[in-house]
Amino acid sequence: MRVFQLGFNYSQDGPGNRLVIHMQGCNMFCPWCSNPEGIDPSGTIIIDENFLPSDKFLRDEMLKSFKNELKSQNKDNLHSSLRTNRRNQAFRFSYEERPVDELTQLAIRSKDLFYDGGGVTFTGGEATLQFAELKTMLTLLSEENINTAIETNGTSNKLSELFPLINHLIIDYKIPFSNFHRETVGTSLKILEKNIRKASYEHPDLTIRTPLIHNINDSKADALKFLDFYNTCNKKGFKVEILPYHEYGKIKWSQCGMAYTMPKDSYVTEKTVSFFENLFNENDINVIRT
Amino acid sequence: MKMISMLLEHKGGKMEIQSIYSNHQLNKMAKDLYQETRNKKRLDGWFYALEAKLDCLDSLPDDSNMIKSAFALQAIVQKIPLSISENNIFAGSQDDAFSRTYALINPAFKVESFTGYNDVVGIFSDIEPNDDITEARITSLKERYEKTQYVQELNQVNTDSIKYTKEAVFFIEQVTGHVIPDFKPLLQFGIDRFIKEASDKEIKENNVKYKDGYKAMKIALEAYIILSNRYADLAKEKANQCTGNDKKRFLLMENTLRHSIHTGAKNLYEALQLFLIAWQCMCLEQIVNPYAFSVGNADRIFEPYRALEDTDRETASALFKHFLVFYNVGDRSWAISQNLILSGKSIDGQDLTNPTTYALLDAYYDMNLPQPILSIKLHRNTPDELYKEIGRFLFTPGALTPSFFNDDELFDVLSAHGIEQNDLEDYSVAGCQEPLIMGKDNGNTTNTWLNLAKILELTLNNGYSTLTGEKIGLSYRELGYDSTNPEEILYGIREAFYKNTKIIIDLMVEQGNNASKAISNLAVPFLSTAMGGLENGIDMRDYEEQGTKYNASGCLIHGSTVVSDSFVAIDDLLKYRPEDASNLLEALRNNFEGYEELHQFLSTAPKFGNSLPEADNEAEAVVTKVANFVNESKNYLGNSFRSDFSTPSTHLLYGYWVGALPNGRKSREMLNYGLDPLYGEATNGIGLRVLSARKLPYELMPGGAATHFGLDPKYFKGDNYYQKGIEVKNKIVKPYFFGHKEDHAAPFYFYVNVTTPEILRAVLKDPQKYAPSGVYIMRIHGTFVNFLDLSPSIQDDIIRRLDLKSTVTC
Repeated sequence: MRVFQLGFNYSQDGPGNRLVIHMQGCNMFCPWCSNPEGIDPSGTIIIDENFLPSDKFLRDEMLKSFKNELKSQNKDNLHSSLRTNRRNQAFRFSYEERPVDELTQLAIRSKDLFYDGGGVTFTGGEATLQFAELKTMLTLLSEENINTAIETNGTSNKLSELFPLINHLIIDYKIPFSNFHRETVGTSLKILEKNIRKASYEHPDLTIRTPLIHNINDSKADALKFLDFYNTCNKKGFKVEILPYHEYGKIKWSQCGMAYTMPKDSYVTEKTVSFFENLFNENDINVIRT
Repeated sequence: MKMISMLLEHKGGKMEIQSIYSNHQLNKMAKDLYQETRNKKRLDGWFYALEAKLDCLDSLPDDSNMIKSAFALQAIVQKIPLSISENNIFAGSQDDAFSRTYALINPAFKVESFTGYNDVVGIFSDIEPNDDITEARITSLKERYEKTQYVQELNQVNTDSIKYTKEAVFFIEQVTGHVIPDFKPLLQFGIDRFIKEASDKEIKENNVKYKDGYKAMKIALEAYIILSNRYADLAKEKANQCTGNDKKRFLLMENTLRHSIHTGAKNLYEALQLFLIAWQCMCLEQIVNPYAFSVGNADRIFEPYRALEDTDRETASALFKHFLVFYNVGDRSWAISQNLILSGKSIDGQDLTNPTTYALLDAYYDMNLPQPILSIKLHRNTPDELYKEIGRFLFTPGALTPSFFNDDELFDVLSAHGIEQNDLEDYSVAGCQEPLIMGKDNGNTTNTWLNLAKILELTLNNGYSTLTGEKIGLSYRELGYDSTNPEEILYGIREAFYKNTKIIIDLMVEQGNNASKAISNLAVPFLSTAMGGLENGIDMRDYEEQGTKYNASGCLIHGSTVVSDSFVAIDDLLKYRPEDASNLLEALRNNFEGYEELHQFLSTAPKFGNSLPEADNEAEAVVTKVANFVNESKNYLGNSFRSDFSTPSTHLLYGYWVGALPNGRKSREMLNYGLDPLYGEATNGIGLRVLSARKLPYELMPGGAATHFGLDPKYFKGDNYYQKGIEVKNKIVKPYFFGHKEDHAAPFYFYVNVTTPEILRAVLKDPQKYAPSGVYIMRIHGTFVNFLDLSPSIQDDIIRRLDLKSTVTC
């Protein structure tokens, strides 16, 4: 399993204290993503200038030399060397291979840390890109009666296979207009909406998450379009959580050598958030804040 | 239980002290008394006491050590100046046993100046001459002291080990204090019964040595009466000088000291008074600086006397406040590491929390004193009420914080190392975190101090120090290497390191035993009576025969995870860049200067504390191997040494003497604290840290183990201290102590500081604002310290050691 981050988190992606496994690779490219190092399925090189020499000349030379190398070297070779003989803090490769068995054992040993209804959460990147490993581990965890959650972009056409193995299903639903969705994040809405609809009927604990972003999905038309879609689902079968835009991942974009393209005015007001929440509430949709 | 029922037969009435003062008045007097203590800038009593002792010893005929020591104790208690403050409700003081010496709370202390704890004449530099204690008088006493058998033998130990101690490969300590006396019988029956017992046994005994032993114990116990009478006279004098309630108070004091000491305590007030005089005798017997004597399970000791008159929680707490002030010596509470432990379970699993537990907690919370150290025993059935009480300590900024012990696990660990079932619930903590059986166990706990990181440095460098270039250890060849090829050195590093460690442990043990022999010159007949000596007539420090039921010697082991991380880093180097093997040794000698890229590579190797199998397994292997070496070593009586993986700020001091290491730690930087990851190496939160910690073999640590969690208060969301206490139970205690069963015993000790570096820096910048009382308690290892009293280097260590990335809980 390719994992770019692993640690415990409380009540952010599922209830209670959870072992959160960030899996490498995503089939979307959301410009507001807070984990850009997890997007590229083949991994990303992260440059952390905090670990470069303090001497400016040396620092610049090292950066220049490394960036030249990035252009000229075979990417796979460079990735491999950054995980082995050239491993260092300033130039780091994003993920590590962690065997499913090892991670499962880790989860079993963590049982007493899963207080307040906690368990294991798979997120990313997009966890379902490593579908086989994910399914194996979910199965093993279920056998151990360990609570599971997955936070997914919902685009896997095999997602429903995992429903029986997941206690808490969190699907991100970012943009309700299909063309704009494809244009903004690079994938179709079709499977995503099909999965949400299906889950609303079949999964006992579905949360739909929407990052609310100015000029992306915060207009009244967006709200109504979201609502239109929710009206096609089993409205008793899911909760909606609105997450206001933030820039927690901004610095990581530059560390990954990518431009952070989100405009400065992407924040939304509490008033806008409330408008969405009220609209959904008024239409018998369960809205939560965590 | 038998004792409780006996005492209950006397039940009824109300303590006289309650009719004299209100609780409010008692509380105020306790606080004023502490302020008096804080204002005390000179500690001269030890000088007079030592002078009286040496005068006595010089005047005595050639008698046994025990008898001489007993008479010396009498001489001390007859001659030292005594006083009773206007704020005292109890007579007694231990101030005269301590000097202003202990390094870590000495503002002049510098890390580079640390030379261990065995410079016994260093105390003479810590007293300022005045009109009475002149320079000439100090010099004279020092010279006399230097001529004693004890100091001469100890100096020989220091000479014989200087090759290793000068760069902190190991240290030796002659252990004073560091036990838990059992004064319960004294409180119950009074002193006469034991004097008679010693006297009767002296008469009946035919063996000269034991006969002398009983005689010495009798003489030493009489010192208790002498001291009590002197205080009684003083109390009477004071009573004659005042009127009203103060007069009543001093008359009560006199009566207790004159009469109750002979017959036993009939209420909490008397029990505390009897206890404190015994404590004073015990400390005076071991002058100078008998650190880390400990009270034991205080709630179990005093609950029968509280129950006798059903003293309410508030009144009991008011009396305990005076009791706690007693343990604070001078302006910086120079008597360090006196432990008091509460709660726990019985051998049949019953929770032993009682009303005195809560009264003592109230007293601690309200007084917030640097001494004595508070510890709490937990188990799976500890009541939530106790966790709630704990919450207010942990989440009040600047308040003292208890350390925590895991009864469920320690019972098993101690049992596996020879402690009998019936004694298990009587384990208490001597000093910082060393578990010993009250009244039965001379663990000689801090006898030896081992620095694994320095041994690794020497092993890697052909026996040479990379700091000074001096040859200290064995050469490659002596360690079994056939070649000096760097790659081969690294491939064979584990084998060579362990071989070297075993050899150095043997040398250390020999000198540790010599130090124990040296201190056996200073017999302790009074303390021996509270350690089982009345059963056999043997001094508890006897070098040839065992005076206590249990006996061992301790070894505090430093640098375990620094070494294991170094092995993992070496493995990575050999696996991924074997061509750099020769560069590694050169890089270490140059503190990685010119080898920054190699340093980066090594620094990113898997590190203990992140739940990475290779790092955790290596730590388990290092701890197992070294613990076994230590546990298999024999002390002066042929008993086992006890591995103790704790580093009471010595990880900082020893780190100063260790060069750069393969894990990326640079020269002179601190080592890991206790069993913890090195500062900064565990970066993924407390969950993964706990999982790493639980991989270690705690069953091999009968001497103790230490872990610290610096916790950011923002991760605890409860609305009040009590809710947060329950959160600590669920988020920290349960997973760490009572979690998933591993192959090994679970951890049994940790302490916390709930704060952030930002808060502490703010306190230092504006102490008036954040600590108007002048006291802001932090915990370093097994001791509380007033953060504001510490030397800057220790303050900085505390701030860095919070290591909040390793404890993010969310």
